[in-house]
Formats: sequence, structure tokens, C-alpha cells
Amino acid sequence: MAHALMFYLFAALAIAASLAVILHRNIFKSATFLAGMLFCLAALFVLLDAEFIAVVQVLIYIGAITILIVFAIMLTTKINDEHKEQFNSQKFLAPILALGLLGLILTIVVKIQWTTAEISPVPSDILGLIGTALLSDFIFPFDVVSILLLVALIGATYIAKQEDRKPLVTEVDETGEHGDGKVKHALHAEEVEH
Amino acid sequence: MNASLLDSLHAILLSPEFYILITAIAVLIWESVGGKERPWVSSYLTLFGLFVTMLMSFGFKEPEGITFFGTYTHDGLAQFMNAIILIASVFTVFAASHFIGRWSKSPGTFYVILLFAAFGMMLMASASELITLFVAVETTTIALYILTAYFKDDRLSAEASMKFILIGTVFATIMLFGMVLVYGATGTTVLSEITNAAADSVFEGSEILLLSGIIMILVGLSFKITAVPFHMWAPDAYTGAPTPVTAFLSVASKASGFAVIIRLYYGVFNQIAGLEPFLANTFIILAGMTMILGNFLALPQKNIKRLLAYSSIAQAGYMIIGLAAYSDVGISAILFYLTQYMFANFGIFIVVTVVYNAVQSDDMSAYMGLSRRSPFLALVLLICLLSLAGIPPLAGFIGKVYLFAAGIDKGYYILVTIGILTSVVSVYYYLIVLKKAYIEKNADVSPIAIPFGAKASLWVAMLGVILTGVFPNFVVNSAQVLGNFILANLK
Repeated sequence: MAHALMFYLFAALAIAASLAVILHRNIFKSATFLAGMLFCLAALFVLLDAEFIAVVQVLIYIGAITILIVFAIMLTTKINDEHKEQFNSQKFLAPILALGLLGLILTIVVKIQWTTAEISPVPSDILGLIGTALLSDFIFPFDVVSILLLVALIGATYIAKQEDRKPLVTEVDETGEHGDGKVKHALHAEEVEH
Repeated sequence: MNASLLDSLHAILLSPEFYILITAIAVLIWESVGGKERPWVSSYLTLFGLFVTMLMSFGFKEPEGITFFGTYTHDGLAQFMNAIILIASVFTVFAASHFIGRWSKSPGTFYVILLFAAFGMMLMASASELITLFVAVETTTIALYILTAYFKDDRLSAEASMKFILIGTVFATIMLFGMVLVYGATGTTVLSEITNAAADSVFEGSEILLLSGIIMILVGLSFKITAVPFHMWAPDAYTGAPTPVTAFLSVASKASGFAVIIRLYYGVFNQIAGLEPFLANTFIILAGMTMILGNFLALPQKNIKRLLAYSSIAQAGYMIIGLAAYSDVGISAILFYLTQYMFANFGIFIVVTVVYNAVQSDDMSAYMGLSRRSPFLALVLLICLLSLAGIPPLAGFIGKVYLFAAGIDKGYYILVTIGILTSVVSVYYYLIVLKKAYIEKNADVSPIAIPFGAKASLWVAMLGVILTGVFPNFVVNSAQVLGNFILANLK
């Protein structure tokens, strides 16, 4: 009973927090609500006996990703403006799509005859099992992840690096008649058409 | 690690990926040691690595098999796709050598990321387990995001990459969600075990879980092959990306997407009872929409890269007919079509890079009077565009006949009719470019210089289109053998 109560409490909090994330006008507060929502999810994981996932959730999502978002907000000027329009022309289509996805997931949940049999308890050395799986059956994808991170690292370094490069646009401006200007116009005109 | 463990893992199967990785690391190290003074070494090193990989992969009879606990499969499909990806990478290096080097201060990093992208694509073609597949897809896409943004000070390039990242992340999430559902329904991520696990369904209602998962994975992969309605990122990303990257995206990225779809939807998901007709119908709808929208949206385009983006969406539509056919002819037709499509597309895109270098524009008006300024470039453009349009005796014609035959075989008369009619539409917009190049006059008649690397690769691309069209037997035969073999092996 207490278990169910806790579940509904955290589920409701998670929904409320995620609504606040998209509806709040201040983007910094949205980020804070996001952290709250992720914390509620972590609590739900604890209720499901998945302590390890709960800890990872707190560490990675709250400890790393939300902090990154906050840093991005801090480093970006004028993004914190409360008078900025937060919805664009897709604001009617997006909820419909989201509701469609919700409908799909609800259909799945309703159609499945959830098993009511006694579930074997979660083994106590779950960490050991995960570690063994990562270094035996899943060693190959586990290794490839390191390459993925290397690519991301190189790419991030390249994009962030300041360099005095041969500018594309200035050179075009000097030559005059040809140039990127036309391309940009063409692209822009099309965007308007769409 | 002792030798017997390595032997038991059959690590030798991974050798193509291994060579590519070594090359990427070598170029990366060169970049930090001497890349500033001699940036051209990077491109030569990359080419050397790619050729060595090709030689080691196809010069010797490679062992085939499954390794790393079912996560990695090296078979005929993987070998064929590796060939396409490697040749496409070589073309990209040739296209980039005179283009990236001219417009970017640090061209060396381009080759590093390109090699990593090729690595990810080869892994996609070989992954036979869902987690490995997802990691491979992500490695590829992250590398492609960076390549798209390579001209980082160019507004268009940055915007293209931004759109690509946002939309790509959404589709990656959908695909991952689908994989989770498939795992939830079957209890395994290894492809070869999914069919059996699905047959003795674990609990009531697992079919709908599995079906939703399969559809979501297909949505994620449709993004990769730019199937309508999941194509919306392609025109902007293709237009804004540096032209060699656009060529690489439109050929290699698509090839790896088709490899994954063939492995998943020919080998695994259609084996599940009652799913094949449903999947075939899904592919028919995708193919129809992709052919119609891709061809008709190409008509009003004024920018050649945007036109080619829509054209490549349309070309993907033709290849999806092969997916819908669910037969060995279907697979063979896709393999043949990919081969000729690679030659034709790279021919055109390398012309685009050379023209851009000369006049700094991708606008169609830049192609006015091209036949006078450079007869060779105009000739390559003519042959490759006509091949894409499917004019005999060029390779595109044989490819389309082959795909349509696979469709007719299964009785998809309406779909094939759509295919033929939209091909006629495509002739129109390809001819617009040719009209500009051959008939319209340009005040500027100064000849356009073609760098040696570009010239060599243009010859290869043009001869590839002509020879696979005039003597299709060699490619068709090997595609047929491979098609039979792949279908037999996947099942």
C-alpha cells in the first residue's frame, strides 16, 4: 500500500515537473524542473528495486546532463529572457504527435496481459552481473563505445577550436558577382515557402 | 590476452575495421605532429589506408563467420557493403583533396573523421546484435554531424549540421526505443535468437510489443536512407554540408542503412510468423511516397546540391522496391543499384566541387555554358545525370529494370508503374541541368581547371557508369550470386 502510494506520488510529481519544463517561461527554471523530474524517475527506479539504475540516473542525468544544460544557459547571452516566444509555428502539430505516441504506448500497455506470477527477487550482486555481462557477452559494443567517445572528442575539439581560417564568405564578397549570397537566398526563399 | 582466446574470438574477422581504425589513428597522430606544415600527407595516408583495407578485404579470400558472442557477423552482405563504403570513401578523399584543403585551414581532421565514419558504417553492415548496431549507428552519425559542420564558420554548414543533429537525435531515440521494445518482447538482443524467441512468445500480448518495436526501428532506419516521410532533414543537410560530405552522405550513409535494413528485415523480422506481408506493404507505401515526393520536389530546385538531395531521396525510393520484393532478386537488384548509383552520384558531386572552386557557387546558373568552359566536366555531368534518369544503355537503366523486375515478380504492378512514371519526371529536372551546361551561353568562357585527383576520379566514375551499363553481366552476376547467398545465409 505504502509502496503504491509512493509510486503514484513520484509519478505525479514527475508529470508535473515535466509539464513545468516545457511550459515555464524562464529557461533556467525549466532546467531546474528537469533535474526534479529526473530525480522523481530515479525514485521510481528505487521503488522497482533497480537501485543501480537509480544511482546512474542521478549521477549521469542530474549530475552531468542537467549541469551541462545550466552551463549552456549561463554561457549563452539573452537566452534567459522571459519575454522570448517559447513556441514556434509547430505548436499545434507537436502536441498531436506527442499524444499519438502516448496513445501508442497506452495501447501497448493495455493490450499486454501483464504476468502476475511471482518474480524472482533481484540478485544482490547486480553490479557484478552487469560488469560480467559488459566484459563477456557485450565486450564488443562496450569497446566500440570508446571509439564513439573518441570521435565525439575529436569532433568537439575541432568545432570548438578557434583558428584563423580562410573564410568562405569574405572571399566571395571580394569577388563580387558570384557567390554564396545567391545560395543563401535560394535556401531562405524555400524555407519561407515550406 | 593469450593467443588461444584471440583464436577463439576469431578476431581476424574484424580485420577490415581494424585497418581503418589504425589508419584513422595514424592520420590523427600525423595531424598533431606535422599536419600544419604538410597537410597533404593526411590525404595520402588516408588513401593508402583505404587501399590497404580494400586489398586485405577483397584481394584475399576472407573468412566468414560470427564472432564476439553473436554481436559481429562477417558475411557476403557485410563484404559487399564494405566494398561500397570503402570505394565511396576513396571517392570522398579525392573530392575533398582539392575542396576541403582550399576552403578550410585544418583539412587533416576531415580525413580522421571520415575514416571513423567509414568505420562506423562498416560496423553497421556487420552488426548482428541490437546494442552493437545502435553503437555503430551512433558512431557513424556523430562522425557525420561533425563532417556536415566542417566549414564551421559558414552559416549554412553550421545550420545544416544543427538540423541534422536535432532530427538525427530524435530518430536515434525512436530507434533505441524500438530496440528496447523488441528486447522486452523477446528477451534477447542477438538477432539470430530473436526469431526463435518470438516464436515461443513469452507472454500474451508480446506480439504488439514486438510489432511496435519493429516499426520504430524501421522509422529510425528510414531516417538513414531518407525515405519519405522521414526525409525532411536531407535537403537542408545535403545543401549546407561541404560537397564531398554531401556525396558521402548520399552514398555511403545510405548503403549502410540499406545493409542494416536487409539484415534486420530480410533475415530476422520477416521470419516471424505473419509479419512478411505486413512489412512488404509497409515498404511498398514507403517506396511509393519516396519516389513521388522525391521526384516532384526536385522539379522547382534552383540549387544543384538541393536538386541532387531530392534526386537522392527519389533514388532511395527505387531501391525500397527491392526491399518490398522480399526475394533474392530484390537483394541483388539493390546491390546492383547501389553500385551504379555510387559511380553516378560521385561523378556529379565531384563536378560540383570543381565548379564551386571555379565560380564559388552551387547555383544552377553557375553551370551555364559549362560545355564550352570544360567539355570534360560537361560530359561527365551528361553521362552521370542520364544514368540517374535511367536512360539506356547506361547503368542506371539496367539498375531500374532490375528493381522493377523484382517488383513485377511479386505482382507490384501499381508500384512499378509509379516508378516508371516518376523516372520520366526525373528526366525533366536532370535535363534542366544539362540544358544549362550544353545549350545556354555564359559571358564567362574562361576554362575551368580540373585538379589531377578530381580528373582521375571523374574518369573512374564515368567509366564505372558506362561499363556497368554496357557490360552489366559481371556486376549482375556477382550481385545475383551474392543475393542468393545472402538470402540463404540470413535465414
